[in-house]
Amino acid sequence: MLLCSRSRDLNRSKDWVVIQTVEKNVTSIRLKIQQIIDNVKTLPSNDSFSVIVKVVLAVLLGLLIVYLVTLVVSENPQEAFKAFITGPISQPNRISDWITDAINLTMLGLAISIVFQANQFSLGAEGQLIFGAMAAGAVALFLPPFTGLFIVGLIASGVAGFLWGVLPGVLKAYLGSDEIVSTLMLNFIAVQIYDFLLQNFFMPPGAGAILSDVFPAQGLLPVLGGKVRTSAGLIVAVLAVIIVWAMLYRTPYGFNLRMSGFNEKFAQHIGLNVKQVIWLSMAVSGIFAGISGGILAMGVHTRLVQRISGGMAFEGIIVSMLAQNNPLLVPVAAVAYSYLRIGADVMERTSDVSREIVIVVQAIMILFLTVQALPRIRNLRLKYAFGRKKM
Amino acid sequence: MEQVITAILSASFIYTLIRISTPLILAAMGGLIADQSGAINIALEGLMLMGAFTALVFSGWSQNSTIGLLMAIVSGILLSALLALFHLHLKADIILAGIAINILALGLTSFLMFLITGIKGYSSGIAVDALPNINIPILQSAPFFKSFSGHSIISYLSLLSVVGTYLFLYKTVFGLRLRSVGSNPSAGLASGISVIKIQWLAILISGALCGLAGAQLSISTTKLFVTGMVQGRGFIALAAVLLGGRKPLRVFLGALLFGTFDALSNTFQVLTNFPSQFIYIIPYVATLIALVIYGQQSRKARQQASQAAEAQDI
Repeated sequence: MLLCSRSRDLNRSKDWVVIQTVEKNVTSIRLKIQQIIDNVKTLPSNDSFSVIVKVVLAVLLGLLIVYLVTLVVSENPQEAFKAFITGPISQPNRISDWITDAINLTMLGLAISIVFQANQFSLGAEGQLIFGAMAAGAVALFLPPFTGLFIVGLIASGVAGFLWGVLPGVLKAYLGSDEIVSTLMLNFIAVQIYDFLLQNFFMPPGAGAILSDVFPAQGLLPVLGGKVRTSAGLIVAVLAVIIVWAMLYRTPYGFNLRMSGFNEKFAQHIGLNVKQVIWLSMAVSGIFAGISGGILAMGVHTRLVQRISGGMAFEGIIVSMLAQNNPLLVPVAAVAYSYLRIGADVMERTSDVSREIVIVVQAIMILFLTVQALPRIRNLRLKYAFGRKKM
Repeated sequence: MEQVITAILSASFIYTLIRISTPLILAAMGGLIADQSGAINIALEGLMLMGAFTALVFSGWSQNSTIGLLMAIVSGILLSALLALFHLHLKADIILAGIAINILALGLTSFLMFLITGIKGYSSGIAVDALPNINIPILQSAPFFKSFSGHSIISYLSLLSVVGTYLFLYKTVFGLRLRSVGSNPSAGLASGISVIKIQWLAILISGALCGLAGAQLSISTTKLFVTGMVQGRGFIALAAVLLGGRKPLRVFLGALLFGTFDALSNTFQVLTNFPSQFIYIIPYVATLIALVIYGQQSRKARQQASQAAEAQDI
């Protein structure tokens, strides 16, 4: 009898232990979840010091490469390099070029930063930009002109970019097709469709060159400024930066997007609709790439031309990487990077060095920025300051 | 339309098909080997471009196509070594590093081309020693098989590369190790295989094959270099790898399929007044469809695998 009750007590205490450990586990899991959520809230949370060092080093490396190449290639390297460094600010119209370029790079950088934050890889900005330009052209040329036509054009270009982004997004999310290859294929397809429509519908009959008519005045972006001028695209870009930041950091959708980018499996387990996040991230990214196309058509070229993007869309990747996918830093990166681009342009016009050098620099900067193993700079610093303990 | 059909059934169509498929097959085999080792090589495109450029420049400089061919292989190896260095030792993300290599190849080739010729866009004024076409006497007299004769050495090498890749991956110890590293790197590591060494070699092989593929474009099919002349063939080759389910023979058939679409678009362009743009997009649309099919296949395979695992648990 005694034995029996004792064993029952034992059993009971065993149960008690089990219950306690389960509770402990539950609280620890809850804490972990809280931790992860906190982490996501403060993204990007990677070591900001070494990030800054890395970005600065990448830009310096780029400058160094240009300098070395001009030394080797040019007959007058000092002049060429001076043109590269001071070119963008040497004349008012070059400053205008610089600002205009930075506006487009900001839009493209924003587009890429959205997909990168969702941990996806869209290379489709090119196609989205082209379709955006085409939609803006269609609005400007085929709608009856009225004040504010350019706003309709910008909206149309955003919608076109969105739709061209839905396609790879849905293919990836619901049909499991690789988004890198699919977005690239869609770029090639977009270029051909654009060419076809331009030659058969936009080109005025009997025109010698493959160009559309110049848009009516209402279909052009208003010009801002005097000597140094730019288009109303500047306002669009500033608004876009604020919108993307607010969307990513102040809406549930942005939270879901960053969460699934941070840890897709975890996001799935806590019940987020990861598939929706994936396709929407690509489509929303398309809006900004599309508007960038609209700005190019209505603010820069003032008509539709062949190869309207000029391969610019890939520049969004380097801008977003320089900005660490942070929408607030994208315009800073865009201004800095377009300085290099316009500098290379000026250098090509005034010296014997071709502007393609900046493409090489871009590639090397991307390589440098993706490196993970090298710069644990903060750790290194601590190691040298305090010995091995602080590792 | 009748014209088109007779053109497609003719021997010259087969000839064109082989010529057009050659770079796709080589690049796809390179992509397959890298993929099997677990390092997805996005840079096939840039490696081919570099190969095309180097082959043209060295063939024009030395007036010897063999030197051009060898230098194309060397350049492919060197550029892929950069990719391997950044991915395997500096731990760069392989996709971004691959994109960077593509951009690097585009920038470097157009920069150097301007430096050499002083003209943008294409290799004007470089007289190239093109690769000779090799005639095979036995095939030449046969009615149908004559289209298999008279190709460049690279075309024959591309067919050999399929057999070679199969033997390498499935009949050698090294191939076995390569595949095991690709399917489970930590298991490979545990059994004493150097994962990094194997992936290095796989990436270098894919670089060499892509260099060869590029040479076909610049010193055999055409005799000039145009900026960005690879035109997405590297990515189409990558799609062929996916479509073929990472098996050499099927990947080869996938590359042939894309080659067929490319050849078809040429035939249509010559014989009909169908808008050429729509014919150009055929290979790209086909790639998209292939991606969807492959995505479905791999999803099914994963489901089956998880079901099998559940059955084992029970």
